[in-house]
Amino acid sequence: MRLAAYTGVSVALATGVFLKALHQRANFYSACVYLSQSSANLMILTNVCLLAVGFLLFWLQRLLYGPLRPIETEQLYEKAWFAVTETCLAMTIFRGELGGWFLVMFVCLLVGKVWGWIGEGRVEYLEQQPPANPRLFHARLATSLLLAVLFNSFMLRYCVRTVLEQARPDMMVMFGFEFAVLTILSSSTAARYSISLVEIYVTHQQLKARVEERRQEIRAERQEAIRRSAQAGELSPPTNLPDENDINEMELDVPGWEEKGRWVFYLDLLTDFLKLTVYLTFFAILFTFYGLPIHILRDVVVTIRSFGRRIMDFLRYRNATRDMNERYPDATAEEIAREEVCIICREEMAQWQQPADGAGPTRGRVSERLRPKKLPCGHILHFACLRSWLERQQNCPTCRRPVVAPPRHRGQPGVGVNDGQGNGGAGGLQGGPAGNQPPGRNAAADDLPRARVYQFGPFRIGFGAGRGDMFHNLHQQIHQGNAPLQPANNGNPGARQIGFGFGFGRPPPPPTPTAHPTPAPTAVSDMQSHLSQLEQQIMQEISNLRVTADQLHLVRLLQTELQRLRSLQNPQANPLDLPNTLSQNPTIPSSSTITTTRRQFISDPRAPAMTAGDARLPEGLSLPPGWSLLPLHSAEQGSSGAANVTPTPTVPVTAPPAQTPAGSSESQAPVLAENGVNDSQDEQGPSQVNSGSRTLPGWGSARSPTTATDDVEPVSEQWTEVTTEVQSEKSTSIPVEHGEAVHHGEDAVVEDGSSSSPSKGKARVATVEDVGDDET
Amino acid sequence: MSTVAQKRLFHEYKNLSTNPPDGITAGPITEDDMFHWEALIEGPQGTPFEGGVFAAELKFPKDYPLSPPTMKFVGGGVWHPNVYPNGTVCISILHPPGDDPNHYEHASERWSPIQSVEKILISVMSMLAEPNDESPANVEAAKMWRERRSDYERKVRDEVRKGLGL
Repeated sequence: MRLAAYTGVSVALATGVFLKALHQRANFYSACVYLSQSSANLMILTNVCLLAVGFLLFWLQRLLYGPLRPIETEQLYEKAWFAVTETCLAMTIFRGELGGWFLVMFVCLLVGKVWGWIGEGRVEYLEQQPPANPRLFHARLATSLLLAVLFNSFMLRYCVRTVLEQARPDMMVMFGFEFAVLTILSSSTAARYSISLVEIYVTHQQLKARVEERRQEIRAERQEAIRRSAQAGELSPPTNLPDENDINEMELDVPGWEEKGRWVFYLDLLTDFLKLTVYLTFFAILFTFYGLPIHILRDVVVTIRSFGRRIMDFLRYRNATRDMNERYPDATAEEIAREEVCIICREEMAQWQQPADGAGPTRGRVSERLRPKKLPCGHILHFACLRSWLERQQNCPTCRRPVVAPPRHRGQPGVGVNDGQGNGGAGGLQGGPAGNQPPGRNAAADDLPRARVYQFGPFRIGFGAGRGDMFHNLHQQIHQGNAPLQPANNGNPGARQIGFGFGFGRPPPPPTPTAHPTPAPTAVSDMQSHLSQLEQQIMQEISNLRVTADQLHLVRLLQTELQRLRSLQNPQANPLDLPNTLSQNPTIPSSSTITTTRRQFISDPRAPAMTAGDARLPEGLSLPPGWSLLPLHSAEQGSSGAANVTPTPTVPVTAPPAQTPAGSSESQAPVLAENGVNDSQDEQGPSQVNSGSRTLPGWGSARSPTTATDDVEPVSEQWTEVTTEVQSEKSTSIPVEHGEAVHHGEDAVVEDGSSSSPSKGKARVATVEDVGDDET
Repeated sequence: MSTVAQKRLFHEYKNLSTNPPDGITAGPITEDDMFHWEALIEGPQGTPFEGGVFAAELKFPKDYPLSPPTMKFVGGGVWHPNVYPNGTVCISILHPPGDDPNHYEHASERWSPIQSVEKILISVMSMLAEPNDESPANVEAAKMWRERRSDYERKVRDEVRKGLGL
């Protein structure tokens, strides 16, 4: 009503002015001049023009969009207010450029915007509800969207041209900018509409296929029913035949276009990006020519922020929805029973079964998008619902825990840091993640302080703070590519250190896992390996015991010798000591067999035996009368040189023992030996001879002398160390202990069962291996 | 061809009409448009809003369970710190999911598909009883509520009476 009055008044005024001009002036030309001279006349005429444009557009809109819904009108009013205010704000910067042409451009802009909003609303509406008259609706919408795109791009082109022709930044720049944004938006709307169309098409096709399927099923059912009734002998076909035409399309469930959400996402992203570009360009132009455009500052910041967030969302969304089927497990039946409604669509869930290959589509099978999926927090959602939620938020809708589980626990700093880099995505950092952490790290290394080692292509930078052995570790890590550490116990562990290291070069390739002796991962082989480990431990213990016993025995021997020497020095002082000492002696050789198993020595046949007073005798050594000394070499050295001969307390059975000082063992170690025995020892070594009192298996027969000596070398060294410490042991119980030790050793070896040569400790390793091989 | 949003809204409508909570009625204005609802809320007892019936319109986005609806009291007359003068309700569960840029509220208080129309309306009812004046939508009302509680209550009662046509 108000509008009608306004229209009437406007038209009447304009007609009056026009008639008056025609009446007063002689011809049409002068009338026009008169009209354009007076501002009042101009205003009235402009008003009428606006009105006319308004009506024209209204009818165009009625034609192309149809009547607007009330909600649309409301939204249009709201948005139009914003738009007008914003444009007016923007105009303040171009003061003094207002004119008729500006008004025209302004109206064009407003029309373009309103047209775009209606189109946008319609596309959204299309996504919400199917139109009542699809053909008309789509024809209208497609036309108007196309029109909007064309109009906006034409205006944009015009503005750009004008700006370029005039070559000065004025009002047209702003209009150009606005139309650029409008072009982008209208294209985006058109693209959105296309996406919707594709979706409709896809859904339609699916629906058609589904209906066809259903029809065939019904047809088959019908024929089956007819056949059955014919078999039953009825003449007339049954009346309750299923009709293939009464299919309710609404009941059929079709998956729809799965990809739609993603495309919309891409489209939004692209639109935002273009808008941001235009904004920034406009901002730059204004900043260059007019100073800081405060009025659009907020828009620019908001657009940048929203764009950044959109990209972040996009990345997270991609991350969360990548291989969703693998990432989130299917819910089991009892889990569904516990939580039977999907909280997004509030519909019940049913267990999803893997469709069998080739099996026809059956009714009641759960479609892929209704496949219940379990999140890491245990909540269950439909596949499609979950995905659409993940497009917005990457957490559980129920408990809001993040759905993307962290790749690994952060407990191990080295691992976490290196992983974080690997996920960072920078190409250069991807260089050597493989070498950073060899997969099989032993648990002991984790307890050590670890440095953070970063890998930048060929460079490695490590830093960290830790206890005393940090530097050692750090160095090791940098140069071994963060390999597992050897537990280094050097330094004082209390002091804290802060270290920084720098390494260059590729990390060494991760150590290839060594082939384990376990041939097959079966329980039997496990048990066997375990057994062999135990066996090894036992053997170790035995050999340790044996070594200790050896040492003890040697100490006893030395002690006895010392006593004897003392008694020799002053025989008058305590004459009773000597018989004591001598009486002890016979017990010793019986147990001395152990010591003789250490090393094989052979005498050099060319070197004659040294008698008392020989010049080759070491200093301070005096042989008792009737004794001779034969230089021996260790067997592996042969006769060439005996530089490294360690003293072997070879104690003859029949002769009273003589002392060999430990300190004189450097060069040709003299070995006390009885005359005449030496030659026979050449091949078999002293042990064989000396152990005549005990029946020991011939160990030397099976093994080469070299192996034997190698095995026992450390024992011999230990002996020299220990002798200085344990000299004051009491002497009475040694033989017994020793004998027990030997027996233990033999028992253990016998327990091994299969060893054919249960010799002493030196054959230990070989024995165990033999056993292992035999059993496996 | 009905979308998830329509199905879910229909579901909720059915639940609300078969098993309505006390003091709440809600449903779509027309069956054609499931995205536009009208709700009636009784003023909670023991508050100045007692005895009043407040009409509100709910507008649902097309991706409804994922985004929250908006709620607006129609007819004016809700003088409340958390209701804008134009009637729009400002309550945390109606805010889109994600972190609050102003850090007023936890992400857990914001919208999630686990919420529903019923829960929204119940929340609004309890909001009427216990305003949250930390981030008021109606600053005047918040000030009044904080400083001159009796004035606030009298004003609310007056509004209620006016709204009922007394």
